[in-house]
Amino acid sequence: MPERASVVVTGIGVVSPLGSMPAFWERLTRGADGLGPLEGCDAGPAPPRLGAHVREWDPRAHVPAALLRRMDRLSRMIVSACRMAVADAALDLAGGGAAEIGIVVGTAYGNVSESEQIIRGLVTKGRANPLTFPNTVLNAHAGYAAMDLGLKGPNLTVARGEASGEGAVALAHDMIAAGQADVLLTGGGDEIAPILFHVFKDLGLLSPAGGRGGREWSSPFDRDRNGFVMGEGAAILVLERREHARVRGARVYAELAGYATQSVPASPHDWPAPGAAAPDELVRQLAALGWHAGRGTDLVISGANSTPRLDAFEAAHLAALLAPAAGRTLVTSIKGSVGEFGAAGALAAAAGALAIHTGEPPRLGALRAPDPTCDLRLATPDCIAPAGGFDHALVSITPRGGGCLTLLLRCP
Amino acid sequence: MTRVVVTGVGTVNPLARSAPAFAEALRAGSCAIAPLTVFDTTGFRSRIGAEVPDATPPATLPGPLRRRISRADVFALRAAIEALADADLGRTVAPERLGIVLGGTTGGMLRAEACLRERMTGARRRYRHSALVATPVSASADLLATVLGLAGPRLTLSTACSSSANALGVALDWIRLGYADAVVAGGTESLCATVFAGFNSLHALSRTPCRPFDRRRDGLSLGEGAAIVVLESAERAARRGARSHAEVRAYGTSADAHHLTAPHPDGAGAVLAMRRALAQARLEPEDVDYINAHGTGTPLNDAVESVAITAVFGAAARRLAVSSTKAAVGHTLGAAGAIEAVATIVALRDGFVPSTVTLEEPDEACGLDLVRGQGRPARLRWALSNSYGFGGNNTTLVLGRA
Repeated sequence: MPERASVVVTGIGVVSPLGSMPAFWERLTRGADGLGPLEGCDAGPAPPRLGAHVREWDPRAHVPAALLRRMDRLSRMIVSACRMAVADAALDLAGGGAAEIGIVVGTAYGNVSESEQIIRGLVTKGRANPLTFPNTVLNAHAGYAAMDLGLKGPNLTVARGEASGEGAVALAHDMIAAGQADVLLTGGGDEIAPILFHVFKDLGLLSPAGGRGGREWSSPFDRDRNGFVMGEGAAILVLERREHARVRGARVYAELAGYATQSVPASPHDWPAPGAAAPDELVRQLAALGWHAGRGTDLVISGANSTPRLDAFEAAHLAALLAPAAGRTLVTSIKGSVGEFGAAGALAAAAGALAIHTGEPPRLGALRAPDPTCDLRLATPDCIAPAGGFDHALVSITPRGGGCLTLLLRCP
Repeated sequence: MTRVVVTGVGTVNPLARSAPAFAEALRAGSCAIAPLTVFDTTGFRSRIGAEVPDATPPATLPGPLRRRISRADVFALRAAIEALADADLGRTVAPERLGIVLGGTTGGMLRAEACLRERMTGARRRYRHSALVATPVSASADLLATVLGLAGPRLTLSTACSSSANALGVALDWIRLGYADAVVAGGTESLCATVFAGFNSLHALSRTPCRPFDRRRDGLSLGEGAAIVVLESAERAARRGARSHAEVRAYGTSADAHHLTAPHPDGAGAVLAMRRALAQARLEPEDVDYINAHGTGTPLNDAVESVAITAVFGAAARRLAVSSTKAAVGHTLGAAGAIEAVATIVALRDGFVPSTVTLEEPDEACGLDLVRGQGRPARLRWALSNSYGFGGNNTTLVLGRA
């Protein structure tokens, strides 16, 4: 059997369309959203023209000016989140403390806006900008975080499509379990960029999809959902071997018990069809981690993003995963509040830890008419938090390509 | 400590279209760096690199996918098909116990460049999204998982030029943690104009085939390709009577925390990665016979790497053989760690040290036993493969004779 490392979450830093902590959590549990006019993407007068941009964030408050000048915007978001997480965890990085600490970051597209500019420069001028080129490498942010905080441990960047945030958290768990580190910063980030907007728009994935009418919005599991709204943001968690956290007297938000994965049949470039496979493998792996549907009070944070296809898949998938307790287990998504982006799962993982810590769920603030085919107990805007809090939070993601992943957080 | 072995190898690279052909070309001392044809190099300082001559998708792939997938996807798929055939797992591993972890940096950038160019020049009004869906660096792992039925854990690492060295390290952890019975691990990379122009703008490209560790070295040569290995526990391999090419013993990884592109002048991060790798392998410096160096051919990298090797190995540094196979296949970025691991694996298996084929005047300042010419026969026990990347991250793999 796999070794089980007891790994805990001791710090959280967030840069998001709902702001940073504590506003992020207060707004998320209230079901508020961070949607507004899409900026910098040449959206035009007709929908889609909404985006969930990060707000209430000044990188100068977190990152020294000398380093900030060299950094791209995504790196600024991620390094700011790192700084906030380290402060929140009260980690002492002075006196060589950072030498054994590492970072594992997830991003689907990285610094895509400067990459696009480089290609444009190549087409128009036939040359690249030597000042911005190094920033276009997908792991630039992890390098900057190491430089800023003196982190000399493992320095990894993960890309896993819409599961990039969860994928990084899962790998960080592996690294601690395998003894590669005792403390890791992990999570991820992605940014809104013009090329992503135009490609998602042309693919008909953005609300209101393909101009078929309806209002432009993001409302996971809603009967009238019609595509996603692009978002951006970064979240970093401090993950720590439990014993390490205990010795230094750290506050613990939640335990990361582990994760489960299952490949569901899908095109490598699209979400699986609803009901493509029963989640047998996830059930088996979660059981090995000590989780069984209905044995406690649980919360599921789904990756449902307000597209007709993914939400239908997630609804059927979660109903099967949670059976026989599907009608009793609270299910939510944060993408009505922060939009869809590759590393949104880093924010979902942070939300899972916060839900365990506070006993409150993120609420589906935009939900008006739940999809009648969705056989789940949804976290409606007025839902009441369970009196005794949550025993577990499952963060469930199904990226395009069908590589499902479920993080299991539990009460420490 | 569970012993983990390589039971399958596959590669598509500028030197060879299969692992046996690669081993032969390494022994022969061939070099594949030549004028580039995959994109227009007019106006650039350097106009050479190492190209894979044939990027045809496997004939078995369904038509719609053949049109969508990227050049990097093609390399990865062909190398994985070879590695899986070589491992001959048959029905000994359930699909959900078969994982995949790849490294890469630019994914389908070559086609994305063409799409952006079409839209910017007005040749098309919209993006060809069928040509853009395979752009993300994670697309190759998704393709291999879905097409080859690898239904276990799936991940893509993108840590610049150490990406696929880290992929092999994570695969090793997965086997030891019991997350998978076998893991398909490696890396893939396609040449593209953006990265070529970027390195050109940094004056990092040589006008002549790169000469790692040569006194007159003046820059790197870019390359492309893929290498894939199949890892499983030695116990499982023995039980099913599989041949082991080599052992993957440990990996060590670190960050410089110094600069985004320049290595730490003392090689502090590289030292840390080698020391962590040896400690995890429970080996002493004297146990190591060969280092497949990162050895890019830039003046700074090779000098700093030599300093780091000397720091770790002390007096033992002079009796271990060092070479860079980038002189033969170019710097394949996200695939480099895996291609060089395969070069090291065949060296351990076949009993030879690959040379730095373009090396003419070894840099005495490096203070190392630099292998040149046709390589040399040698019975190797343990070898390291170093990979360093932008972002200041360093990874060392420890590989051993099976």
